[in-house]
Amino acid sequence: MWAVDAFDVSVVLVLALIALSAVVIVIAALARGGGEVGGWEVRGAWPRVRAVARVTLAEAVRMKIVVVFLVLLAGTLPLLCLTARGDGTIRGQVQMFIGYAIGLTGFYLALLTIFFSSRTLAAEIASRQIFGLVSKPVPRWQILAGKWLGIMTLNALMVAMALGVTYGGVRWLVGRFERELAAELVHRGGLTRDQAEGGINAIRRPVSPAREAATNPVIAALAGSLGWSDDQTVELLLRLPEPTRMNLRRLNELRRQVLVARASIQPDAPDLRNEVEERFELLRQQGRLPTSPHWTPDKVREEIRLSLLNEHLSLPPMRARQWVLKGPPPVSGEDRLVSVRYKLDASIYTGEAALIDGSVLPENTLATRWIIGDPAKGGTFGVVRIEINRAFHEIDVPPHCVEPDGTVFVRLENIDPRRVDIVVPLGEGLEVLYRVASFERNLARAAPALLVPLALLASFGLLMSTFCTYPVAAMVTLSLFAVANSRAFLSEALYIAPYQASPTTLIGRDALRAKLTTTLFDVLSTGKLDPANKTLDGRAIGWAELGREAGTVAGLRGGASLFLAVLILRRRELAAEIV
Amino acid sequence: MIAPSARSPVVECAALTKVFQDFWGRGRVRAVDDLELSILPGEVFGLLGPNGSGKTTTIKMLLGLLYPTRGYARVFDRPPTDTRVKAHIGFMPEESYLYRFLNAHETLDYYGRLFRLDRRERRRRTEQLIQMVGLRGAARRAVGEYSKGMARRIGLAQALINDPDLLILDEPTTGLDPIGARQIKDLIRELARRGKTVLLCSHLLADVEDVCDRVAIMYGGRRQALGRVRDLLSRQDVTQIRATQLDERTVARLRAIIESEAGRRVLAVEHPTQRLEDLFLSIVEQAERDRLATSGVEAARGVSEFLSAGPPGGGAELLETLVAAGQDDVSAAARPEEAVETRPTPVPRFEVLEQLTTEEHAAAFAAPEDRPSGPADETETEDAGGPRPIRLPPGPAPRRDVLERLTQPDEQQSEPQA
Repeated sequence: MWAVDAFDVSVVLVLALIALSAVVIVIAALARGGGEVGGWEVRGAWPRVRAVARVTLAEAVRMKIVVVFLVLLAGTLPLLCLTARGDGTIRGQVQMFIGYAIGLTGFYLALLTIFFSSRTLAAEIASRQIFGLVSKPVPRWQILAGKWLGIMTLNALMVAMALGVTYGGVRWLVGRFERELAAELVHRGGLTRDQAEGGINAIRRPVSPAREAATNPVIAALAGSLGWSDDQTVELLLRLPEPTRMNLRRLNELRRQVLVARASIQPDAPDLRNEVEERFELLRQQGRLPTSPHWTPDKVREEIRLSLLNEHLSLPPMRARQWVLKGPPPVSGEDRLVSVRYKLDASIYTGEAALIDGSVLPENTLATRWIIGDPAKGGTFGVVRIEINRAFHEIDVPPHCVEPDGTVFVRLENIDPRRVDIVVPLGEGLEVLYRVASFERNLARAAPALLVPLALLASFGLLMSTFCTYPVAAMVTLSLFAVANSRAFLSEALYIAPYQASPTTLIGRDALRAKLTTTLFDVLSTGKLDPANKTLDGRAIGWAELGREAGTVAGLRGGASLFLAVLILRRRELAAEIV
Repeated sequence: MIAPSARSPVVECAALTKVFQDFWGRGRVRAVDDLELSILPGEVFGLLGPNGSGKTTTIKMLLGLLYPTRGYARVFDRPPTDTRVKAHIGFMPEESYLYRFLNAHETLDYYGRLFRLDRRERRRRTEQLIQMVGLRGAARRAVGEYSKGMARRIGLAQALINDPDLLILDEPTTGLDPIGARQIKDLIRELARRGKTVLLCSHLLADVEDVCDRVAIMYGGRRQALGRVRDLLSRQDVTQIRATQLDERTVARLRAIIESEAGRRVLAVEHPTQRLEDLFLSIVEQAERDRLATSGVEAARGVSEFLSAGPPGGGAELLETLVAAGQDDVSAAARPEEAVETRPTPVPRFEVLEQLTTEEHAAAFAAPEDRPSGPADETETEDAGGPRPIRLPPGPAPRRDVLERLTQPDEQQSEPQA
């Protein structure tokens, strides 16, 4: 039964309207004779394209558009830097600043690109300045290419400036923290200024993992820098107040987990097809398959799969699970820092609990034991953690626990006495992280990542402006941007597809709806790169990923928009008035 | 690259029509209607017409800014939308369509780059052009700050940056002071001398008359007249004898000879003042009288009927107005065919004039005589002070004896003979 509802009616109406307009426009364009003749030569194009790009850049700068956005960025970023709080820790501060700085940069520049790309051609046509351009031997595709290049040059300069300010802000925040910490070491720890600063600097550099494995990274760093033994260093630390010790640890975390670029390896999603079939067969034999026509065999299988998945992901009390993760590629020579990162989910809220030895398990925590390393070989690394539920935590893996081929064995034991099920979600539930680049390098890679969606917006803005006036072109491009950015929200709001359902199980109207809207979102999307979140999380922006996104978003979709723009501009009577 | 060939027309329009449509595709404005035009290399061609007659639309079609509805236009034997053609064209638009945020130097440099001039050449031409148009002092100011005259000068400079073979000027002298206007005219003449072709579009008829070789006059999108300026402006039904200053007695004697012996009327004895403006107006008036369609402005015509003094007149009053108009109301049909191509007009109302002639005049009209050769030659060589030779209509020719009388030296005359 396919009951027609308002969604279907509106989709049909919108599609019909778009199709009708497209047909009318195309027929009108083809019926009218004329259009640019020739002009497709590529030889000799570069000087003209460059000339148009220069003037476009000059327009942006001298017409004060750029100044407005410069002031916005240059004003907001330092302000953010000064007011960032996060969760109060230095890590929270830095992460919040990086996240907002890069996010705002992307947002402001998207707005700048939208408005400027919609305006530059449309205003030139409306004010007839284009007569001067078109009466010269410049093919119209070169005009568009030049304008696009000018816009992207502007964006590149603004991105470079914004990332520079972001980097400066991060250094300032961390530097201030380190100075305060050094002062503490001097006043409370009795160190000289040089010793204190040396010690802080040592924490910044990743020390040999072998050394760190023996003791604590902070102790190792300080001992190495001061030239003291471990015991002496521990004594020093005990002299310091607890907050200072916390800060030292936090600085260490900041340096190793945030201000770094790391690649991640996650366990594969389990292939449950055989189990699903077995269970299905079992149910069928027992005659317990649902009889209502609503439950097709595919739907039943999906339900079975979901419940098996849940079983697979959750860890009952006093149980353990082992993962074998194909870890980082082996690196000869230098030691590599590897860590295991996880975010567990207790099925219920855990209240306070008292243990037999008198200590108390705080509320909303989980008690777990982690054992890393191949159990068959011995020499594993084990640690007990009592940590906040539903938060990210990390364990540094000693190098001897990583197999020569890079495999990492991870075992999780649910030792919480409160008898809760622990769920290890897919995706961010468990992963192995290893460092591939520095923070600076990652930040540099954030630049092209930011430019990819801007390239698409510029192409689309130019396309709209070839046949619309500036306000209309800007509005349509802005809508595209808004839709692309609210994909998650819109999917949920429109109830496009039931949560976690795989597309094969949807039938009829639901399947069509899901397909339509996912296709629409894919076409309108401005890319999946998320430089803000990646950088603040210390995750590397990979070249392969970057290349892929640049190819599909900027290259394919942006290129298609520009090509269409060229076709339209070639046919357009530039002196005809649009009323 | 296209090399314009020697004598093929630089610009050619055949049945060129442009109908502007509204959003729904209905034809709204017939801006150019069936235009035939041919501009030869090296000539200065003027395109005239009242506002809305289709001049600028024609130019835009020649530049590929508009596409013809029917017919075609060709520039250097290629369609106007061919980008290669534009390398040989310079266009000075009516309004300043320049980038407000660039200064004069940067504007010319930009356009120079679009023509792929190398840096040295660009710089050289930019300097020379800025000097030529007199903007040296303001070369580094943004064009947006320029006065209208200055903007037009830089507009002219950018039209010349590529040393074009065809220069299209839309209202070149508008907005310029007299010095600038004179400069432009001199420039046009100089360019023509160098073999460039110039297409000029203007309302300032005096300027067009000064520089153009040929003109086309448009009204309502159609070409109303086309020909050499000289030919268009000559009037065949009137003989004009230009002499150096004559005294009253001589004038009276001439008048007597013409009226009594030759049987002709002396229309006027005065210092010559005919200008292109009169021709222009007469054509527009004719067109309006014929109620030709136009989408542009119609010339203002006198005072509304209910406001003018006295009742509307009949034939006699018509006569009065026609006679009193003097040099107005030229009959278009009276011009010789070979010198001028004119739109064939419907039956002119100037038949009234013919009916007004006396019997003896009618006889003279009815019996055309051969053109006299000898005295005519003499007459034509009498050329003191540079007046034009007398042209005689092929129709009713003046009698030989009359001419002899006119050209005989009088004792009273003091001027030297040619």
